Parts: sequence; C-alpha cells; structure tokens
Amino acid sequence: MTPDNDDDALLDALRKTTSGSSAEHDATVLAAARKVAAARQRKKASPWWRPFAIGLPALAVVALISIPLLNETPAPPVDTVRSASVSVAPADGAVVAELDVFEWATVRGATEYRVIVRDEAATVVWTSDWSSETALSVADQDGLALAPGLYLWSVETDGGRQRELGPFTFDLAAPE
Amino acid sequence: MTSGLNDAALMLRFQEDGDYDAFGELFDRHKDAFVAYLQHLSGSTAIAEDVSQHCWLKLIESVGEGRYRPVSGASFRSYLYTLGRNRYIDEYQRKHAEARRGTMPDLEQVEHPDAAPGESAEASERKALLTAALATLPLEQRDVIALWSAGVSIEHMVEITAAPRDTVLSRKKYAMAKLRTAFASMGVSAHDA
Repeated sequence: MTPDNDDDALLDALRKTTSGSSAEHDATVLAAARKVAAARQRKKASPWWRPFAIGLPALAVVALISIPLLNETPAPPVDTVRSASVSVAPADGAVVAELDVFEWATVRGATEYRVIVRDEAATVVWTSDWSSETALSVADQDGLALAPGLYLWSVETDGGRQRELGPFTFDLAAPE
Repeated sequence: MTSGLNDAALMLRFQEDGDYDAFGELFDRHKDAFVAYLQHLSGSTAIAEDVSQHCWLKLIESVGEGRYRPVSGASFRSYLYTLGRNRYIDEYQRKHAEARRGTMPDLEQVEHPDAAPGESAEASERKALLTAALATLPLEQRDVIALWSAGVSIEHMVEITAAPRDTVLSRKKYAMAKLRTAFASMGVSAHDA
C-alpha cells in the first residue's frame, strides 16, 4: 500500500464520518437571505438613495430644488420618490406587533390616494380604495388580514409631484 | 441565470441586485462541506451547525448593510472558512473550560456519528473510532485535517490558518501519522474504515 493510496482511503473514511447541514439550519439561513434580498431590491429601486449613499454631489439635490424655483415653471411629475423626510406610519423598517393605521404626508397636487401592500416576494396582497384621506385605519378595511412577516407598502397618488410614496417596509411580529 | 458564475460574482449579485437565487446557489455550493469541516474541527454536529449558521447569518447581515467586500486575492471559501474557524475558536475554544486546556473534549464527550441507513454495525463502529482518533489531535493539526477533508488546498489552508506553508504541511504530516498510528492501535487500516 502506498502512502498516497493510504491518504486517499483515509480521506474517504473521514468524509464518511460527517453529515451535511440540517434542514433547519438551511431554512434559517435561507429565510434570512430572502429578507435581505427583498430589502436590497427595494434599495436598488430607490434612485434617490443611491446618490446619497455613495456621496454623490449635493449639487444634484440643490439643482433639483432650485431649478423649478428659478424658472417659475412647474416641475415635471416624479414617478417614484422615497425620502427619509417623509413621515409615515408604520415607520419604514418598523417592527409592529399590531397594525393599526397607514398614514402619510400630503402630496402637493394630489387629490386621492390608495395604499398598496406587498408581501416579501413583492406580490400585491391588498390594495385600498381611492380616498382623499392621508390616513387609513386598518380596522375599517375589508380583506386586510396579514399574517406575521415582512411587508412592503406604498401610497399611489392620482397626480401631483409624486406618483408614489415608498415603498416602505414593516415587519408584522407574531403574537406572543 | 446564475449558474457558472464564480462565488464572488454570486455574492455581488446578491448584494447589489438582491438576487436571492444567486445566494441560494452559493449556499448550495458550500453549506455541506462547511458544516463537515466544522464537525471535524469541533467533534460535534451541534456545535458545527451553530457555528455554520452564525457565519452565514453574519455574512447575510453584512450584505444587508452593503458592507460585504471581496477580499483581494482571497477566495470566498477562504473567507467563509476563516469566519468559521475564528468563531469556533472564540466561542468554543477560548470560552470553554475544556478548550482552555488546549485539547479537544474528552473522547467520551465526542459524538459518535449516526449510522447511515443500511450501514453495518462494524462500519458504524469504525466511523466512531475515526472520529475519536481525530479528536485526539491538537487543534492546529485537527484544523488542517478538517480543511483537507473539506477539499481545501494547501494554499487556501495557509490563508485560513494564517500559518506559513511549511507549518501547514508539517501539521498535516504529523496529523496523518498520528491518525495512521491510531488506526493501527485500533486494529483497522484506513482502507477498512
């Protein structure tokens, strides 16, 4: 028996002493990866974030704000805007035990809004009726029964400066 | 479509595009060998799974915060195994009393691997003997054998263990000699195991 053959046999024997990862281990890791993938997709779809994130010119922001003022002409509608300054409820990234209300800031020029809720895979699970209100009580909504999990929500407008607020996320915790 | 991409490209797609399938492929490539490496290193399936899960979750967390950066010149596998090795040493070697003695847990504490379906009692017993023999090795030598068993090259062992190449080679040589001796004292050869 040569040393190499002996080593191969030993290697083979060693490998037989182990088992692969368990289903529980795999499920835990993959669930975490799925959440992060959804969050990364949302970040990628938020063009206003990226210039800030990579430190690109504040100049762009100044220009966006000042050009419409200088020209005194209305700015074209922005399709999707997600701004950290927008106050919403549930807050972006919040973990909530109970979902009571969706609330958002008025969008200039918009007269009606509707809320769209998507699950972790970005599938629409509920859409509200159009309304002029900027708050929506969950208790009053038919068909809005969410299981614990991660959700994305956004507000669509009928016009004005912003076509959509969000998407924002919230994590509906399982009841204890 | 992610098949054919290397590990670094899959990680970047996961981080930059939120591509879940890219992560899934990367995970499939490494999860079993990584757990096997940690089983050999720790002598425990439970510890191996705990350390492995911790490392994958830390990796995912860094991606979630956009912090993952490929290390220049080091493979993803080396990165992952280094995480695992460090976690095991920090969590289980330095903090636990038996590890402070610088030795593996007593042989009585080492788990005997479960018999595979259809496996004979004799084969199962030999697996247990091999696991016990591995447990008698000092941590540094057991580490090299565990990496070797996981298919890690000598060059990557040098990266993971941060030891000179000659040191890695001598650790492997001494460990192999001890395992063969242990086999002989058990009345079996590697071929029988």
